[in-house]
Amino acid sequence: MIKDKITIKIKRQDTPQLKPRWETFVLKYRPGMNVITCLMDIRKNPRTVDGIKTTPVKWEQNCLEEVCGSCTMVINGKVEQACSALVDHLEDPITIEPMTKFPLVCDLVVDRSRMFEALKQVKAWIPIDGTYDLGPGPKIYPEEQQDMYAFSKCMTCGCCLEACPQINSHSPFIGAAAIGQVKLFNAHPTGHENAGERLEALMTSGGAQDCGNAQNCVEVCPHKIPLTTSIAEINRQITRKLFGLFKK
Amino acid sequence: MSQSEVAKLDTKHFYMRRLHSLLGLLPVSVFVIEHMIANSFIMQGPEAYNGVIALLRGLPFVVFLEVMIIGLPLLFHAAYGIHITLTSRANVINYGYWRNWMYFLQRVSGIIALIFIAYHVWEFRIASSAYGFEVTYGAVAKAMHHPLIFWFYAVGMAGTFLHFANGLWLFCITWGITVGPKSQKVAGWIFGAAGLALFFIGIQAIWTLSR
Ligand code: SF4
Ligand code: SF4
Ligand code: FES
Repeated sequence: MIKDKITIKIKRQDTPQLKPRWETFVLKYRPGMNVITCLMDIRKNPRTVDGIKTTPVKWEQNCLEEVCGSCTMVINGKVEQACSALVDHLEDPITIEPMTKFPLVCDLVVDRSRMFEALKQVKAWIPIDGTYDLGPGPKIYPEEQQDMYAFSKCMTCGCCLEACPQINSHSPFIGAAAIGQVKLFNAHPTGHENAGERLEALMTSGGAQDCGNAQNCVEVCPHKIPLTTSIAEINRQITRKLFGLFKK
Repeated sequence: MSQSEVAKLDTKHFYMRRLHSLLGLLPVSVFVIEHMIANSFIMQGPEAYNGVIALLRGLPFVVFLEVMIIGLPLLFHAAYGIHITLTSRANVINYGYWRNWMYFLQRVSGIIALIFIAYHVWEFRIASSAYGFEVTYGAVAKAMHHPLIFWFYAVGMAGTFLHFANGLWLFCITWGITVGPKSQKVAGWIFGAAGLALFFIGIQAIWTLSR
């Protein structure tokens, strides 16, 4: 059957203080639609299924090709990027909610700054600033490059935190994304200089030990980043550090 | 001192968590293996079984060993395990992946194991010593004849061995022994098989006793 109409249910909330409400919209189906195009269609004529005029739904977007992560939301109960969520692959009616593990700003917009804070906490960078030219960096073998490349694709979208049962208001857990970045920067020959500090950051409250190995993160990561491998790898590095075997 | 420096010093939770992992492995494996050895003597009949019980009970410093090697570590493991459980929010309905279910069941089975072991230790160790009734083949068999007790033991053992087997799998990740998905899968099969074997030995034991 070719559908000509699609139904969209959106959880809306004007401010963090107000109670959320559900609004239902019916749109004309076009081939190749994704959730962002649905939201754009609603914006053109923000009228619910009952014909009541409402405000345009607010959301975030940027790249529209699943590389920036800003459009991440919960679609039909699962977290994913709205720009790559094709209507043809979604069951009707489509329910759209904001992510639940981040402070809400309004409608589908959440504040993901805790992920940036996490990157700062684990020093997810390579310090090369100095007063003189350090020369070319060390060589990295292609196999290692491949291994590291996977982790460099993280776009801080928050899917791995949203799906993680250890991320909630009762737990200080930092989340899989930052642990994956520690793996990346510790693997880099120059970044390795600060490897110990990164591990120490992951041994504090909310660190790697708080992962419960539910492995949802690796299932939902849109870039298929081997997050659980990095968590076990970091656990191994920390174990070696405990026994004084971790070389820097 | 800045906020991040304060956080840096707070490694208590990390050490507790690793200790929790260690104290799950050591006392529980001693406890389980000791029981399975004793249970396997059931097949050789009442005398052999009573002999093993007498031997275990007669070990020098038995109370000290029980408290220090099994009792206290298990109590810590249980108390901290409850704390860990309270920091989780299961979401198996929306994310029904196999490992997520195991994550959920690890917490549920931990509670089952705690109730089961608490009852078992009370009934066949503390109460029996306190009120002076002897734990013998006959006494255990009499208890297992009661269908309620039988099923309580069956469910209790299922929970305990699931928690034990999956706990070994988790131990290997917590300490960084199994890192990649392949080694984790192999470990899953090995510990899964071991858990099932233990469960069958246990069921076989209570089944024989209840006949
Ligand atoms: S690891 Fe994957 S799911 Fe997590 S933030 Fe990065 S891209 Fe998103
Ligand atoms: S393995 Fe599970 S508990 Fe650990 S970070 Fe991933 S989703 Fe969270
Ligand atoms: S808009 Fe960038 S990932 Fe969707």
